[in-house]
Amino acid sequence: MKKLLIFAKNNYIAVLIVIFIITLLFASKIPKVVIDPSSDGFMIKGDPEKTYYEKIIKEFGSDNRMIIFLKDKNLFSEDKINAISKVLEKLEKYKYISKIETVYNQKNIKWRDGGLITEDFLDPFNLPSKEEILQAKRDAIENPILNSNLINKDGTAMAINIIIEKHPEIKSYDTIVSKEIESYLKPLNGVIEEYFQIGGPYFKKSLVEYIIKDQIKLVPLAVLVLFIVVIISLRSLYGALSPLVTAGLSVVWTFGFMGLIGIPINIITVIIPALVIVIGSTEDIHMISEYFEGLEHKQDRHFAIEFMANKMGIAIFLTAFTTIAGFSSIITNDITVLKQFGIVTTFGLTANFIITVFYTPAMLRLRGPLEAPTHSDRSDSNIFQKIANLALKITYFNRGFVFGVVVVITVAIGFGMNFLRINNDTISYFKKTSEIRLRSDIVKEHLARAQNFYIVVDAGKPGAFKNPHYLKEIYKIVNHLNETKYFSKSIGISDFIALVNQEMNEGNKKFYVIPESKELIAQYYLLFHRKDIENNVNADFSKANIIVKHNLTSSYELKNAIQEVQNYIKNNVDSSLKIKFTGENVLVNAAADTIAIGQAWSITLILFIIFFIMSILFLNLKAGLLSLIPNIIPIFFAFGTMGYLGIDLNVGTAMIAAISIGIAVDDTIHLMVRYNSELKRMNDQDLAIQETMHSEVRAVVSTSIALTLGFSVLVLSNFLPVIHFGWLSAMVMVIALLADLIITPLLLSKTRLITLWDMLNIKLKQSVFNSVLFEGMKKWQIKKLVLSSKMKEFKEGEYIIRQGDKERTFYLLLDGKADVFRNIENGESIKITTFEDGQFFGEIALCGDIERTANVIAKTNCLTLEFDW
Amino acid sequence: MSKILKASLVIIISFFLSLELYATTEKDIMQTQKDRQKTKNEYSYEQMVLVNSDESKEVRQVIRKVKEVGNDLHKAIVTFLSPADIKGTALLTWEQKDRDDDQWLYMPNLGKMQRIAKGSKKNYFMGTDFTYEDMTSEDINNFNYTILRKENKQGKDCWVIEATPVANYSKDTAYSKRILWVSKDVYVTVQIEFYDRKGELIKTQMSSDFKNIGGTIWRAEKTIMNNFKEKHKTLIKTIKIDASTNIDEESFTERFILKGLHTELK
Repeated sequence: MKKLLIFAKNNYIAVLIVIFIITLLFASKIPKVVIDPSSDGFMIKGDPEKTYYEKIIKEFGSDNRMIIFLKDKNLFSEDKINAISKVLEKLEKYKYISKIETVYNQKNIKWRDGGLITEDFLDPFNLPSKEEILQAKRDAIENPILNSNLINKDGTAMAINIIIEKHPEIKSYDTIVSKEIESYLKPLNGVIEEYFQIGGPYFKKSLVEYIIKDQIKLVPLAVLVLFIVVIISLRSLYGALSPLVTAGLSVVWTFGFMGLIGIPINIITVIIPALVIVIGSTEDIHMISEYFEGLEHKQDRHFAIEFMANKMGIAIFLTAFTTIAGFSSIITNDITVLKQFGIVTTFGLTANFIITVFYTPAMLRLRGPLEAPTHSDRSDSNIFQKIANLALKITYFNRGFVFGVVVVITVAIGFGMNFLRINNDTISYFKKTSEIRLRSDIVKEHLARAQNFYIVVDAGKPGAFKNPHYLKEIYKIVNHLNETKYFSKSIGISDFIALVNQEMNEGNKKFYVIPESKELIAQYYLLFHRKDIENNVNADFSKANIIVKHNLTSSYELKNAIQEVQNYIKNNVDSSLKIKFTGENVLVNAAADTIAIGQAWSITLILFIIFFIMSILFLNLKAGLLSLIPNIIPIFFAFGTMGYLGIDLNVGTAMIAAISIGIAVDDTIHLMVRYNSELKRMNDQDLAIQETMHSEVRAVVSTSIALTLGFSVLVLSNFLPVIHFGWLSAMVMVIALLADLIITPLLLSKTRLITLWDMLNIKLKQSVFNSVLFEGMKKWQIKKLVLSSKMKEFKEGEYIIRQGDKERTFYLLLDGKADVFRNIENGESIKITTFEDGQFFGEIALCGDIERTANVIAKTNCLTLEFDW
Repeated sequence: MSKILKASLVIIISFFLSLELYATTEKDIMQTQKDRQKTKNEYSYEQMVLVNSDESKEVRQVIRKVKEVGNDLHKAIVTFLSPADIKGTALLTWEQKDRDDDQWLYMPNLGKMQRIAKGSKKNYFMGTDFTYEDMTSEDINNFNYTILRKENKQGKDCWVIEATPVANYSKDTAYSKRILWVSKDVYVTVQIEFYDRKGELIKTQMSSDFKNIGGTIWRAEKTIMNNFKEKHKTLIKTIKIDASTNIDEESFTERFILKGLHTELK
C-alpha cells in the first residue's frame, strides 16, 4: 500500500493522465444507462414461477391494467356520458391498448319485462332514452360481475379498465403511454367531478419521475454535506475539494459501469451516486489529514506525502476492504434489484478506492498545499478532544458497569426485532402523501383496486369447466374469496354461468348457482362470445382463472390472505385440481421472504469476513471477536427500532445491516491499528489507549459525522425504502461511533495486539530462534511470542538490570551485546560475562522475591524482550 | 379522317365506356342481387367451426330454416344439432316491420322458450363472429351505396361497393361502412369488409365455392368470417341446401320446437 502511494507520488503526471483516460472511457458508456420502473427487479432472479406467470398471461390476458377512475354524482347523465365517450373513442384507436372494459361494453344478461336481455349495457355513442340509461345503470349496479369492479354500489364512480400491451423494446414506453392517455382525458375537464389514471403505465411513469427527482435532489445534497463536513473537520479548501474530485470521478466510472454491463437505474440503484460520494470520501479525509500532520513536521510535499504513506498503510486498505465487503455481501441476495445494487456499489467503491489511492498522492505532489491548516489538535478546549476525554472517562469509570449498561440497552432495543415484518409490496414504497398513494386510496374507497392476482385452476382435461362439478368448485372458491375480508372482488367463470342461470329463471337470486345439468351449462355458454369469457376460462375449458382484486398493501397481509385461501382450498376443494396463485403481485410478494433470507446471508457473510480478516490481521481470534462487538450493537438498535416503529423489512431496509457493519468497522480498525502501534511505542496499555483516542478522535468522529449526514440526505428521497434506509443507516453510524468510542477502548485495554504486518516485518536473528527458551517451538510461534511480549530498547551503557533490585522480570536479548558486572565491595565491579543475542538472563526472578545478583549493562544498543512473571 | 370525325369518335367511345360503367347504378346492383338471390323457403344443414386465437377449434352442426311470410318479412329458426350437449338449442325469429323483431331462445334443458326482450342486432350470434345484423338480408333503403372500383376477386369480376348507413339508420347498425365485392356474373357477394364506428376494419367475410341451387339463386358452400378485433374466426360449410321445397309455417312455432321436431334432418 505504501509503495503504491509513493509510486503515485513519483509518477504523478502519468497517473493523472491514466485516470483521465479511464474516466473518458467510462463516461462514453453513460448514455447507455437506462431507467427501469418495472417491478421485475423486485422478483426473485430466475424464479420458475415467473415463467409460469408469463404463460398464464398469454392464456388469460395481461394483468397489466390501467384504470381511468371517474367519480361524479351524475355519472349517467347524457352530457357526462358524451364526455366519457369522447375519451373512449380515442382510447379505442390507440395502438398499444389491447382491450378496454367499461360498464358500457359489458354484456348485460338480464331478465326483465317477461323476457331476457342479452346486449351490452349501453352504447355511449348511441344513447337511448333517459329511462333506458337509468335502467342500464341499475342493471350494472345489480350485476355481480360488474359491481365494485367497473361500477360502485351507487353508480357514482366507475372504472375504465384498460389492458395495455407489453413492449419492453420501446424506450420510455410507460411514460409515452401514460402521457398519451392523459391527453385523451381532456374532454372530462370541467364535466366529470373527479377523474384520473392509475395503475400500470401511470405507476411506472411516476416511478421514473420520482427516480429522476431523487437523483437531482440527492446527489447535489450529498456533495454539499460532504463539502461542509470536510471543510469543518480539515479546515482546508483543498482538503474539501479533493474528496469531491475523487467522488465525482468514481460516480462517472460507476455510471459508465452500469451502462457497460446493462444494470438500470431503479428505486434502489438510484441512491448509489450519493452513497459513493459520501462513503468514498472517508479515505480521502484520513489521507489528507495525515498529509497535514506530515506538513506540521516538515513543510515539504515529498516529506508530507511519505509521512502520509507511512501512516496510512494497513488501515486505509483494510477499511476500504471491509466497506466494500459489506456492500458485496448484498450480492448474495436473490432479489434482482439488491443483487444489482451489490454489484454496482462494489464496483463504485472499489473504483473510488483505486482513484483515491492514485489520485490523492499524485495531486498532492502536483498541487498539494504547503501549509497545514492551523488547528490546536491537542488542546483540551478542542471539541474532538473533549469527546475523547469524555469517552475515556466513561470507559474508565467502571468497566463492568459500563459494559453492563450497554448490554442491557442493546438487549432492550434489540427486543423490538420480534415485531419486525417483511414487505415487498411496490405501492407501499411510495409515501402516503404521494399522488400515487392518494389516487390509490380514492379508488380503494369506491372500487376494487387495480391490484390483482390470478388463481389458476387446472383440471387437466378439456371441457372440464363445462362440467357442473368443476364449475361448482370454482363457485365455492369465488364465494369464499368474496366472503373473506381480505379481498375486494373476485370473478370466476362460475359467475357467468350462475348469472345466466339466475336471469334465465326470471332474475330470481335463488338461482345464482351452478345448474346440475352439464347440457344446460353448455347451452348457457352459447350466450357468450369467446371474448366475453376469455379472461376466466381458456379455449379448451381445461383451465379456469379467478381474477382476485384486493386492497392489500403489504406482503405479510397478502401472504396471510393467500395462506388462508390455500388452507380453505386444501380442506374444501377437489384435490385433483391443480391450483396455483400467480400474478405480478404474487411474484413480487413471494420475493419478500427471499429478502429476509438474503439479508441473513449478507450479515453472516460480512460478519465472517470481518472476523476472518481481523483474526488474521491480529493473529488472534479474540481480536476478531472484539472488532465485531461495537459493530453488532448498532444492528440490534436498527432492527429493534424498526420493530418498535413498525417499519418493514424491505429492499431498502434489508441492506442496512450488512452495509453499515462494513462501514462502521472502519473506525474500529483505525482504533485497533493505532492502538497496536502506540502500544509498541509506549509499552503501557492505558497510555496507548489514551494516545489512540486523542490522535484518532478527529478522523473517526468527522468521518462518522460525514457518513451520518450523508445517509441522512437519503431521507429526502421519494421512496420509503430509501428514506428508511437513509435515517436508519444514519442512526447506525451514530450508534457505531458511540460504541467505538466507549466499547472499543474498554475491550482494547484488556488486550495486547500484534498484527500480521509486524509478524511479516519482524526479523529475528538465527541465534534467537535457537535460544533454549524457544526449544521445540516453530518459527511463527516464536515470532508471535516475541511480538506479544514487551519489547524494550536500551542504549549503549544503559542498565538493563541493577544488582539488588527486586523485580519479577527476565530478558531475552534479541539484538546487541550486554555485559554482566557484579558489584563487589568499595564500588568496584567485576565483569562476569557478555551476553549475545539469543541468550536470556534475569531468570532468577522466576524463583521468587530474590534480589538481582548482578548488573546487566548494554554494551551496544540492545533490543530485549521483557517477560513479566 | 377529319378532326371532327376523330373528335366525335372519341366522344362516342367514351360515351359507351361510361355507359358500361354506369349501365347499372349501385342501388340497381343491390336490388338486382336481392331479387335474384331471394328465396321463399330455404333449408340448409351446415357445419360451423369456431377458431380461437390459439387455433383451438369448436365444431357445431346447425340447421337453418328461413321462410318468407310477408313482403320481405321472414320467419327463421336456427337449431343446433351437435355437440350433443347443445342439441336442440334454437333461436326463433319473427321479423317485424316498424318494430323490433320477436325472438325466442329455446334451451332444451331449461325446458321452456325464453323470450328475448331485447337482443341487440349488434350482438354476436351464439358465440360466432356473425351478428344478427350480418345474417339478415339488408333493407337497401337503409344504406347509401357507392361503386368504388371494379376488381377481380376469386376469379370473378366484381363491383366494389361501399355501403354506408343513411343518417337515421346509423344508430341501428354496428358499422360505419361495409365494402362489398359483388360479382357481375351471378350477383353473389364474394367478400365483405366490416368497419366499426371509428372507421377501423374489424372483420372480413369471404365466401367461395358458389353453387347454383335453382334459377338465379347461388349460394356459397364455404364462408369464413375473420374477426380481427376479437382474434377469432368462424367458418361455415354448407353440407346440404334446399331452396325449392316448401317449409311449413308450423316449423316456426313454439309447439313444434317443444316437441323436438325442429332437430329432425330433412
